[in-house]
Amino acid sequence: MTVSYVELHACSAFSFLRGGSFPEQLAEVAAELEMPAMAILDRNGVYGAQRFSVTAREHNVRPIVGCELSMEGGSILPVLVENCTGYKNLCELLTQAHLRSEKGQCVVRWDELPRYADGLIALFNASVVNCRASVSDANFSRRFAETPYKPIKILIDTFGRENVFVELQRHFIRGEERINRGLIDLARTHRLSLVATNGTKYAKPYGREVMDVFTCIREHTHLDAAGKLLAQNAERYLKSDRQMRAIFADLPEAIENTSRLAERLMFSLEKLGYEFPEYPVPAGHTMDSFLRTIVWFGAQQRYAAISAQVKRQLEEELALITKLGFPGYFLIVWDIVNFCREHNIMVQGRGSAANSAVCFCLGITPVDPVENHLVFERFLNESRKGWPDIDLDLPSGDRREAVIQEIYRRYGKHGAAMTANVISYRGRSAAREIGKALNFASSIIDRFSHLFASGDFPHTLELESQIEQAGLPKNHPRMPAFIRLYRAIYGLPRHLGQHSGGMIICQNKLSSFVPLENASMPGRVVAQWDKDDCEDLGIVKVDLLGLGMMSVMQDAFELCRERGLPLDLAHIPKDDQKTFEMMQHADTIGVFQIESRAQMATLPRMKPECFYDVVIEVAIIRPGPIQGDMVHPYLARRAGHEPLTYFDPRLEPVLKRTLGVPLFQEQMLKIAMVMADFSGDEAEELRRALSFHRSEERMNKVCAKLRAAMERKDVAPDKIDKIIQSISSFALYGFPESHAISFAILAYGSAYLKVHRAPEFYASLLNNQPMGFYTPATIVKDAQRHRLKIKPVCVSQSDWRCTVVDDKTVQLGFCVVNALRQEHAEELVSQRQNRLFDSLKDFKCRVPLAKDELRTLAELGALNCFAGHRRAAMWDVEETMHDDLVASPGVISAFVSNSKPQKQVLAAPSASTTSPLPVMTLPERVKADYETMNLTTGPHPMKLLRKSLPNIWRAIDLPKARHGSTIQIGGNVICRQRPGTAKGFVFISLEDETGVSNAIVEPDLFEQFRLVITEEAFLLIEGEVQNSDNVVLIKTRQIRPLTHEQLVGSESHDFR
Amino acid sequence: MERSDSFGSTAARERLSKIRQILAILHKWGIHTLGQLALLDKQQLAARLGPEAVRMWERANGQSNRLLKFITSPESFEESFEFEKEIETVEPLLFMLRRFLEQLAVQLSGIYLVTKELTLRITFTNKQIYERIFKIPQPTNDVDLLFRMLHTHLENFKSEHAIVAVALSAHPIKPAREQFGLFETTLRNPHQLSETLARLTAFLGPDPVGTPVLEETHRPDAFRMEPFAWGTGKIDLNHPKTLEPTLFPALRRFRPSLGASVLLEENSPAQVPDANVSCKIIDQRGPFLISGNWWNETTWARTEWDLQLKTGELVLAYESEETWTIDGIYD
Repeated sequence: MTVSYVELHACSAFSFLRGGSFPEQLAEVAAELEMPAMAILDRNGVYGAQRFSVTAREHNVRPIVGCELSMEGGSILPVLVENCTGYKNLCELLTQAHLRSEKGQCVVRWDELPRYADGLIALFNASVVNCRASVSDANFSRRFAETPYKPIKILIDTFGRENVFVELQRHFIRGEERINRGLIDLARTHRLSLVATNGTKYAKPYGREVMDVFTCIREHTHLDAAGKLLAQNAERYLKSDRQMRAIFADLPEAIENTSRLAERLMFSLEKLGYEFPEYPVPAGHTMDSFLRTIVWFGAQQRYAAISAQVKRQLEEELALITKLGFPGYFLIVWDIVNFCREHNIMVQGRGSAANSAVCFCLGITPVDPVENHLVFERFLNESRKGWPDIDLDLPSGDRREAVIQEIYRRYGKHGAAMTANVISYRGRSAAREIGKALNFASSIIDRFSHLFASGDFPHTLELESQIEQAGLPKNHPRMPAFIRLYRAIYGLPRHLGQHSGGMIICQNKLSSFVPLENASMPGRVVAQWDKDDCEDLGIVKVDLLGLGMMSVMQDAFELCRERGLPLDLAHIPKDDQKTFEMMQHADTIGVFQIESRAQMATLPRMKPECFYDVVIEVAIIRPGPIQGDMVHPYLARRAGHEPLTYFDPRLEPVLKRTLGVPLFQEQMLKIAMVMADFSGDEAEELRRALSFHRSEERMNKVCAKLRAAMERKDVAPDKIDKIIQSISSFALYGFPESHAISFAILAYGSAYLKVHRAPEFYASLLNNQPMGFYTPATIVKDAQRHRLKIKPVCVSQSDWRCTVVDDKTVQLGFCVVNALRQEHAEELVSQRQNRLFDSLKDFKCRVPLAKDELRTLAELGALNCFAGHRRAAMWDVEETMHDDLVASPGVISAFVSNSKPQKQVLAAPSASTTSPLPVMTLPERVKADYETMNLTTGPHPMKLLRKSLPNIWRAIDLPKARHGSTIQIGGNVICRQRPGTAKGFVFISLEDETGVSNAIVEPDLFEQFRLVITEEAFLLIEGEVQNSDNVVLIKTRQIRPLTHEQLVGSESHDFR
Repeated sequence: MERSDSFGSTAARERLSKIRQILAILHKWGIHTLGQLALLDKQQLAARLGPEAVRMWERANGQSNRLLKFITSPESFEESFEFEKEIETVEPLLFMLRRFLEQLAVQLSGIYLVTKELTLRITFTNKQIYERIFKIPQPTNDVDLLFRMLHTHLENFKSEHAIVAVALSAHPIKPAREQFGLFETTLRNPHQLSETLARLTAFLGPDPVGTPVLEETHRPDAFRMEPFAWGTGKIDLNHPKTLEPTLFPALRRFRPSLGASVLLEENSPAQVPDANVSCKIIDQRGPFLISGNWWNETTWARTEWDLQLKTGELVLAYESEETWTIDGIYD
């Protein structure tokens, strides 16, 4: 039998700056080279192992797991996993090493190696030969000194002779043979087997360039200065059996041993042995019986009378849950939800869980799937391999953190973790790093960043032209290298972050299944795999997603309760006409989901009249339907402009609710089932392809299957094309109906609050910034347009948070002030609660504010209660400047505990005199407001200029503009948006004193005025009015900055 | 004129930052003119913004003077001449330059200064200007010596265009009085060395003259030329440089390298049928692949072999861009 070379030492790009190719690429190239197996050894982790394994198996390459360990003393020890014990040991070892270090640091101690060596194979190489470890353990250190062949003896003692192989690498580099001869001698002396590897760092030779750039990034240098830090040649690519045999022609056993060793390494990530934690049930119950009990108990509370349909649905669901062995999962999620309820934390299940009556009865979701005719199979079906997906929406901020910390508390630091989120090199970051490595002038790099600023706008320009615009001539000698590198590096992993909410937990130690490490956020532990990897491996994930709007709503409900007008989400009437009217007028700034420009442009056409209309409204403005050309047919049909038709009469029951237009993922699955006789299994495959945005190939495969099945059923080719097109568009942005319902509940709830509890709503909205589409400045102006009085910040009135004064008044809190520390503001409030301040001097003595904070408060008018006007306060606050030396500001404890003597010192300066300073003019006040709070309670800056801009239309007047006429609009840019699906068109929203006006810019014009559009705060746009259904859009012809010394505005939110 | 406290010192920078801070506060107060500042109460201003603000107030009210230090503008030691007729030979130029040097020497000697550097500027009929700086190894006003330096340089000077003007400027310095250490050596005649270097430069062009410095790169034998400077490389007795023991034999490089043809057998060199090193290869090590600078037009790559010739010589040969070269011979 011929044995083939197996690469046993390859690093992927998940070694973060130490590998230049995706694990998937390595697997594909291994398959091209007909390699029977291959090992991925990423540095200090198994980050890329799962991705590699999936692709390798798809290509008939057997994946082997391993890792390069950074050892104490600086050497790198490659280890390979032989069996399950070895894998668990590796995970534990890495977890230990990571958790005791800061994020990104990991050092394995030599003395802890023996405890975790079982099941691992060590490769002894040149890096370990030269190790003179400064080991921390004294005994170990002595052994290092005493042993004649030091490290190799240690490795043999630790792993066992049969588990240590001597690794030889040949890269055609002068001097390496001397090292190899030494290694061969050592192997002979200690009767160890030789094994050849290529120390692969990239799939193909061109990966060397990427590695050289990564070296520069790692070493903080550039290619011209990196010198000998760079690679000598490009030989660390994946080599074939033939190539490796030629290189090791004198040592054929080193090649053959790779295959022999690979045969021993039979561990596969598929056999992980993961178990979800069991729920501790009361005595006399199993998890099944307990779940059944609480579900029926919940059903009695949820339904006035349990109908036969509900009963049947619950029985079916419970039977399936029991059959699949998921009762523990439902109980644990129920337990988390209970914890939230007990601690007054709003919680709402979203996603496909809303299709389940069991989840509804357990209180996990607020949506009744029976009433809403939702498809349970979308949530759970027999063929489903993975765990069901229950996402919990929680109020963002402290409340969500409390839930996360509770889970850590219950399952331990090694039992629960956040899933990782891989941060990749994108346009700007890739260009920046490559530019630095190529030693481009920083001005070019900065200009590139500015030009392509604000959320990495998708580009309509060729990369060459972009970099040319940034100041590098097209014929620059380094331009070709830049382009090559940009394409190679774009998308490669840059570092590991944590997922916004995905948590994984485990029955036993989670750290036995995946290495855990510290997140940069204190108190958080993160796993080395992202949510897709975890899902593939059957590790159950509970998504604890923070929604700013949940926080807003909970705060608003609390404010309502405090004011004696209690309200909660469950008791909001679902048919409130005023709420629907507000939506129909697109008066939705601050409302969840339907506040965006695109949503606001659709609302007047959609004219929601019932809750289900809101569900459709939420789902309709998605990139998917736009790409699939689906929005207009729905709206046209709704308005009666287009006849109601179906792709096929058989689809009428499926598509009737959405007027024949498929809008939800559930409908897609049903279409496949009806038109192509897809089985539950196949529908599940389609669902995974739809939600699995990672693989286009997966989607193409399932689409081909669907097409073939429809062709077999003699579906007309044009119908097939239409169905496939709509399904493909959903692959990118699938939106399940249950999810839309969950979001619509929040959208409707927040709209109701805006209409009926405006002060509580706006106060809570301001307290939870930043969130949503608009800045606090826009929210304040919107509140004022709704006849709400927004009282400015005042030290004798304001709390840290914004508060409700009465039905028509909101008092701004200190949280809107820039550069005022929360603890200082809270101390201020506490001092005021003890005793009111009687003068500015009293205030200054009792509240330990830094000078800058005092200045800011004076400038924004918060001290006007002590002085006649802002400048008088500014004059007075400066009085103690030289006393800073006596009392250092900012030290609260010192101030609070020893305040008396310092008080006297501070009070000593001359008594306040009348300020000689001029009173601030109105424009000066507005400017000061924006400088100190990024908002103003005074007039909008555009109002101050209105008289000097007679030709500019106000936003409120735009509906009166004649369609097709040319007009000018102007205002503060509050949003720039360039949706990926809008073919390069840019939407700009300008705010003036009366509202928001919108303009659309064509790609060519955008390129012409790129910097003006992306950098200027105020714009003047001239263009043609496009007015349909009272939705006005200006098609831009001319654009220029609106500059005036009085114009100070808020920053824009920019989106793709 | 210059501010009294030296610009750039830490104290000055701190003061500047303080002044900027005060100005920012004044602007926020709505004080934008000297008149507005002058109207404020001095004591109240002092209580709020401190002594620096008081100084500003006093200046605004005409109550203080800002101390300024009188600085004479640097004297220019330059002589120039525009020829009535274009000149095409070096003699009139040299004649003029000698006169310039004599003038400059008189001027500088009168104020006890010597010439440290000369700058020669020649303007051609096409308006282009040729400029050359001559560093004087040992500053002097010796006209003969300085003239010889210019003369040597201009001996091989050629131009396509006739000369219309010439200028010579001298950068003066106080004469050095330096005592050398016991073991320090100095050049017996720095001017002679300088002149020799000038002659070499004139003869070979500027690129190959200077001190070679090895480049920190994988490219074998890569070096750059730095201007020759006597005595800059002082020996650090505390950290003496030691040569790393190497296991490789020393390589005598052929300069320039020898082009060669190499016959290959099974992709390995087998024979060097060359006039210089014609011989059969009995053993070889390699190939060693090295490449670099892939990011710009100076990209390079070579495949090196160590070849044992039948004659007993061990040579280093490499192939680059399909051309074989014998780089050197091992000791």
